[in-house]
Parts: sequence; C-alpha cells; structure tokens
Amino acid sequence: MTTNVPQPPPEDDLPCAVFVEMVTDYLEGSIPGDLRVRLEQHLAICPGCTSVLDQIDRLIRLAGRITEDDVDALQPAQRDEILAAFRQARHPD
Amino acid sequence: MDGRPALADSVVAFDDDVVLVGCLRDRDEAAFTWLLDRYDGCLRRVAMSYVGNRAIADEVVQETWMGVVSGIARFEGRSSVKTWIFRILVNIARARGIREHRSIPFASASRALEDGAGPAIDPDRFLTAPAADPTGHWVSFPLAWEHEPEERLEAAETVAVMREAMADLPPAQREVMTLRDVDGWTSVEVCDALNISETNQRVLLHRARSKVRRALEQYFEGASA
Repeated sequence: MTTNVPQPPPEDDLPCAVFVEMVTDYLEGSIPGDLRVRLEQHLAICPGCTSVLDQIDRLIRLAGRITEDDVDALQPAQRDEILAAFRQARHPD
Repeated sequence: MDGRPALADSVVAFDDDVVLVGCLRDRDEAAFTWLLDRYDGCLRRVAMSYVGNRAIADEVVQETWMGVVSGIARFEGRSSVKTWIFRILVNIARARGIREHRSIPFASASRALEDGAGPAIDPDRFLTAPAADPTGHWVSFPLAWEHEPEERLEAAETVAVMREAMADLPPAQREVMTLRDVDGWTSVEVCDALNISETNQRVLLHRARSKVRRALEQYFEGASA
C-alpha cells in the first residue's frame, strides 16, 4: 500500500477514521474531557483531520448564506390576509 | 396593559417569550408582525423540504400562520414560541406530505437514521488493511481548502453547489442541517421542534454535513484538476 503522508507517532492512538466521525460531536462540545484532550492532541499532529475540521467549520459559515433568497418572500397580499385574520380573531373569553 | 413597558419603544422585548405571548394574547399587532417577519422565511424553507413544491409550501405556511392566530390563546409555554410555531408547521406539512404522497421525514426515527447512513469519509481513504496497517490513518490527506482563494470559497457558485448538495440529502438530514446551519437554531430547539433525541439530532447533522463537505470537496478538486 502506498502512502504519501507521514505516519503519526505511536502514542497517537486515535484513528483518523474515528476522528472524522466525531467532528460534529466535537464542535457541539459533547465530547467528554479525556477524549477531548486526545482529539486535540491528534489534531495538533494530523493535517488531514485538521483540514476536515476546518472544512466543516467553513461549510457551517457558508450555510448561513443560504437564506431568504432560497424561498419566495411573503407576498404583500398574503401578508395582509394573515394580518387581517389576526385582527379578526376574537378573544377566547 | 398590565404593567408591561410601552411597546412602541420595546421591540427587542419580543425576544422574551413571556412578553411576546402576553402581547399576542392582547392582539398587539406589532408583536404579531414581528413574529411574521422573523419566521416566515424559515418556515417556507422548511415547508419546502416536506412538500417540495413552492405553491404547496406557500399554503402550508399560510395555514401555519392561521394556526398561530387561532392557537395562541391555548399556548401553554411548555416550549418556546419559536418551536411551538414550528411544530404547527411540521404537523401541517406532514399531513400535506402524506396527501401529496411524499416521503415523510421523521415518520420513524430509526428509519430516518438508517436513511442515507454511511461513513463521513470514504473508507478507502484510510489505511485499514489489518495486516498492513490497521491504524485507520489517512492514505492521502484531503485537499486543504485554505489553499483555495478566499473569493472562490465565498463565491455564489460555491453556495449554489452547497444548496444542491443539501437538496440531495435524505429529508431528515436536510431538515436538521437547514435548521441548525442555515437558520442557526440551537440543538435544543431542533430536538424540541422535531421531537427527536439529542443523539439522533447530532447523528443526522453529522451525516448531512459530511455529505455536503464531500460535495464541496469534489467541486474544489474537480475545478482545480
């Protein structure tokens, strides 16, 4: 098997394949202390996993740009209709 | 008005559910308009993911607002106003989805979790052959996006690739990622609105983000090849 990446030192026992499944949990802060430390030690020496973390972080920020342009805006006629319903609604008591 | 501050100069106070609900029950139109402007776009986006047709999504959103108008008096404050409105929408959209013969997100949480399950990264990219190297480390590192020019990362085309990738997600994953990453909801709000566990929410979100990441990676690699 060929490889073009330097292999991590033996004390890093966290497989990259495991790390990439924990990225969301890591970002959500739902990884407990000891494991979190191991993840961070791994990140410090693994450019591949660092890239994936950075990419997920970027795509979250990009997603924030998919906003109102994705859907039709509330049309004035529909807005008026909804507001009229609100005005006409009677108190229950 | 029972001791609440004058509303003309307290628009920000609508962020407080107690104030908001009180005003809505008093038929304060400024409060309702605030609500309408704040959530209509988000409701439309989510309605689309259930019914997949703008005209029907439009009806679903209209019906949701009518549900808010008629239901506010019965709102008991067990959830936030935001998730309450959202649940009204989800119930209406699901009913419409059934009528329109579309698949229903979250019809079964376990089915939703199986839907489109797969590893975040193609396993071929890791060293896994047990005899050779069982460490599960990268065969080759993913291309770092920091080498992409900033303007390309932020380009409208990149956002379009992302939107397409999200449209291809299984409904439950699309739903969670839309609320979390597009609309910026918290995980608690998403769990509450969709009635799913925190764990399921994270699994769905992770799968969604992983697929979108892959689509963006292919786009960048294809364009730089």
